[in-house]
Amino acid sequence: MIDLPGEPISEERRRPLIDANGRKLLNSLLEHQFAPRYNHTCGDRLTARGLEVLRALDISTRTAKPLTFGQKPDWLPWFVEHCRTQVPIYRKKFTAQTPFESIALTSRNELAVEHWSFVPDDHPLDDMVVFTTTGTTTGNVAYIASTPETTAAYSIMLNAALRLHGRELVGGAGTCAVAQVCWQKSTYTYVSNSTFLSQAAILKLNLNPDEWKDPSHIEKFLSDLAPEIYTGDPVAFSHLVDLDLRPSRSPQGLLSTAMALSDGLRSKLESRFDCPVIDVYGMNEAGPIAASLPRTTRTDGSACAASAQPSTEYAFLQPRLYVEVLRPDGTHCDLGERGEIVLTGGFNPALPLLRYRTGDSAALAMRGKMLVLRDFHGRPMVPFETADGRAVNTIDLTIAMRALLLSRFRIHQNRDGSVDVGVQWSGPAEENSLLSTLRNLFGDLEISIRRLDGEPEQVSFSSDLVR
Amino acid sequence: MSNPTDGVTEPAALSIESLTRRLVATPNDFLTPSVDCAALVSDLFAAQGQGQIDSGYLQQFRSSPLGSADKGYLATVAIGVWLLYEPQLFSKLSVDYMWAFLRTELLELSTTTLPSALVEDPDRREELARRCLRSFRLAVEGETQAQSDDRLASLNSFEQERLLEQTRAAELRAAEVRRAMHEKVAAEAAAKASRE
Repeated sequence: MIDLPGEPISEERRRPLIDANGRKLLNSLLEHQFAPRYNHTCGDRLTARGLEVLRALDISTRTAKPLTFGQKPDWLPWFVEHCRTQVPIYRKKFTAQTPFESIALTSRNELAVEHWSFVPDDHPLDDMVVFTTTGTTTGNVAYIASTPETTAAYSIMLNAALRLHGRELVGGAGTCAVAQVCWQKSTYTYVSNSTFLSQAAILKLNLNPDEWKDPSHIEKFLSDLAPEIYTGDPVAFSHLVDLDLRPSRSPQGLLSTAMALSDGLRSKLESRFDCPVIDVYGMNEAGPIAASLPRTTRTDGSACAASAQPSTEYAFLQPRLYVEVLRPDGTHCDLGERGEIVLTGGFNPALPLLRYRTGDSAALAMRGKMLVLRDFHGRPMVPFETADGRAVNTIDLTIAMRALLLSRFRIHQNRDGSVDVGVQWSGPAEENSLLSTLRNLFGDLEISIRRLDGEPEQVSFSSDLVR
Repeated sequence: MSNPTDGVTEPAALSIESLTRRLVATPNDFLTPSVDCAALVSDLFAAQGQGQIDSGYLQQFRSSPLGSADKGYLATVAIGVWLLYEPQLFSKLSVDYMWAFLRTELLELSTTTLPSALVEDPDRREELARRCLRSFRLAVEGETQAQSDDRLASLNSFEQERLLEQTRAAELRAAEVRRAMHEKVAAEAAAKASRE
């Protein structure tokens, strides 16, 4: 089916299974007196067949037998053969005789350059959903092919994260299941309903007051919404924690994504919301991969008081994701030895991952009988601020810089607030455009621009500010 | 050894069927990914009375010239060596042509044909048998040289056509996926519960 750029799809395709309860909730949140200025429309696009797929995935997520160290999953040979025979990017990398450990690794930059080669030949293109990701090392945008089922399955993986902490996402008619909060200059905001969560609402909201009719509406709206869980990055959560919210029920959990959550902010959020605050490790290509465990766990799996442990441990969320941790020479790390996380499998049939390098590092460890990640180093939160002290999210910078003809860039904010920017132009230099882009985000701060020359090819953000 | 270049069917000619039957019966030992090709080649030369082979030459059969990820060439060599032991063929081999067969003929074949097809696919079995006889300047029983050349060329061109067709189909599909992704990236997505 052809979707024309910029053209909305029909309501029937957007929400094929919405019922009267879902419609009523949707309308009430769209017309809510304190609602934000939503700027986007989307639904779950789930069909009856898609709902069946999701229910099966939910069951396998709950029942999958965990692997031990060094064990390969039963489904791996079938999956590798699928990649070899159906996926163009992998077809040329190995033969049927190649042992798994000798299959060449795949990098994120291959996805940026040749995204279409990751879509299997037997994958239908009709109802594909495409997202973009900004995290490639060259700063180029990478396109992620996905499906409505994959997108809706995020709820299943986040629920698996909650269960690690003895909580559950239930959903239900007339309730709000998930509020995804952001703190960005601007981003898509919308209200949607989830057929899988029994017509409960899922919203994406920007806490930036500029996106609301009145700043006081943020607290009133969120209090009224009383979501079962909040998801967001630490930048958004550092604003959420300061809001005066009076919901009718406490959230079941706060799930932090995208960048590392500091222990200080986690403690502050836990005491403020009286619920587990869970750090979720994920990436656009794979979805949620692993979630932080309670610091200590009783033998029955329930959480008890935190004790001083050297490192947060992360349990795996997906039933069909094989995680390797590799040394720089490509050999497997021993238990407890840190290396690069490499993924095979996933729950997105439009983007099968085969020995896909994440660029993130951690060690595999055993926690009782559970294989976990330890010593994980996520993407750090980089504190940037505007001239008047508001946080600037790195995602806003990445998106804004993408509009310029740059092959790479670096941004550093000094303790006095001044900003140093290094750039390499891929076309004619447009320093005035660059300056106005940066002024739009940072405000009236001193900004100096230099040419990058001979430095490592990567996007980098750094800051001397302390948050 | 006769050199059948004049279009004459010689008594020394070999039957294609006996060679393809030998390929059908390739033992699993020769088909495993871990097969030691250098040892197979060394044994082959020894069986031909050539004594110790230079270790530098044997090194060429420890890794594929197409790159470390490619195991197709070495697997093709293992099957080729098994074929050379066919009793009638073995007795007519000339070591002068051995390297050309192992390093050139089989390398070329491995770029278009999966090793498994050399055992399982009748056309590819015949192609390997005919390439082998051509390499060693041996005639095919009941055929003139011109007939043999035609038959090998048609087997080759059929394979080339199949590969071309495969490439065309792959390019068409890539263009279709690119177009679909381009359309859908700008179109309305589906609601997601978190970002990464």
